[in-house]
Amino acid sequence: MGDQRAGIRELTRRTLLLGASASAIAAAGCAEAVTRHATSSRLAAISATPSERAHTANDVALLRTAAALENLGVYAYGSALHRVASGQMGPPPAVVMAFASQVRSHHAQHAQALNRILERLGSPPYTRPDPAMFRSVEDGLPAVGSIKELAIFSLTLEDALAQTHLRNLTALTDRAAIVTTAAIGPVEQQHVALLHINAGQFPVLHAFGPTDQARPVTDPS
Amino acid sequence: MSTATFSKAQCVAALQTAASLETIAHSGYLSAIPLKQVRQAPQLVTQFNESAAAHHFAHLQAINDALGALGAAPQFHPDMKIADALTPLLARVPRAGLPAVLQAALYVEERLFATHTAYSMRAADSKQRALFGSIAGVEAQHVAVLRQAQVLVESGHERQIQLPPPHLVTIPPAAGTQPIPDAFAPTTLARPYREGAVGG
Repeated sequence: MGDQRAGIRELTRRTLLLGASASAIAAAGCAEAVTRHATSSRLAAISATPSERAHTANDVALLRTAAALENLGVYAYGSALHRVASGQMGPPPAVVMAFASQVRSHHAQHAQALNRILERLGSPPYTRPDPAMFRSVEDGLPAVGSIKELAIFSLTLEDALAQTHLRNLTALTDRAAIVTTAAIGPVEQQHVALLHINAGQFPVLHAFGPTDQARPVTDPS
Repeated sequence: MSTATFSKAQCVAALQTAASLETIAHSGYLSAIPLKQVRQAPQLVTQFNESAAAHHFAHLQAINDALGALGAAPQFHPDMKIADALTPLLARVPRAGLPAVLQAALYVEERLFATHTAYSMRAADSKQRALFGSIAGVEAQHVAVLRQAQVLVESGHERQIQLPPPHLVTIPPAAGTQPIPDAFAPTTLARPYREGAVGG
């Protein structure tokens, strides 16, 4: 009987906590996301243990970091395509335009997939470019004067993406997040390889994917 | 392909299967290095061959180390199903030259890429997940580079296989899109996890 009362008290406390966090998110301007996912996330939160909630919070932080980088990828390749097409780096090579268009599409699809998982975990989607790296892209791109320089410039972002996904793969606990991250990471590594070729560098530098350029989870905050 | 997590016994079998695939890849690249069709190709092809052989050997060692840490037997034998499938592809090399070399290499690399990706999705332990994931990205890079070389050779731009390609404006757009056709790594070519298990 005592156990039952303790269980009811804990359930009530969790429901109140959930209501408080939902209010905070709504106040921050994310009412739509809260409405859409209130039921599923409420059920998940009520049934979650403190340990599970900690895992979910960590997964959300990791996924937001990855989504922020993917959004930056969409933005950066869009800007790069514009600059190449305008002839600012010489006659636009069709192969570079095709590659950049496709990679931009990949990053958009990755961002969508990661945001779907974020929403399922009860978090609003993260739709802005990574604020920590945004300025270097915004300031650095206009100084890029050739396709080779563009490839070198793009490598910084693609390395960060590939290595962040690989780091996340080992730290995530949600099954869908693991499966999705495992499917995205190698594709970013492929982007890296082809960029190395255009940068005049050997395309496959390591026998094992490194993680020293993975972005900290504090990036999107 | 299931994405259910591996039990410890399943993970051991998966590691042994991965090792058997790495053995095939390592020996395949080593045997390709002295081939006339490779020596006459652009120098980057030979450099890639040597580098990929070293990568696959490093993968084999790391996988067998992981098996040792689990108290399981290492796997040094090749995956015979893949070896058998590779035989007719290799027989084409003397007649077809570099395109056949690239096709044979891609046959193995695409299966390695898919297998490591699929296993990284299923590994329950973060150490094994990190190992499969870390290798999957490198196999993915091998695949992309080989596919780009394939497009360049098939379109008559073999001389563009250089760092960087000297005449980018002449290269067909397919060389920028065909190497990485999917936004998400496919796993349909992944090998069954018991295929290369010791005693399996």
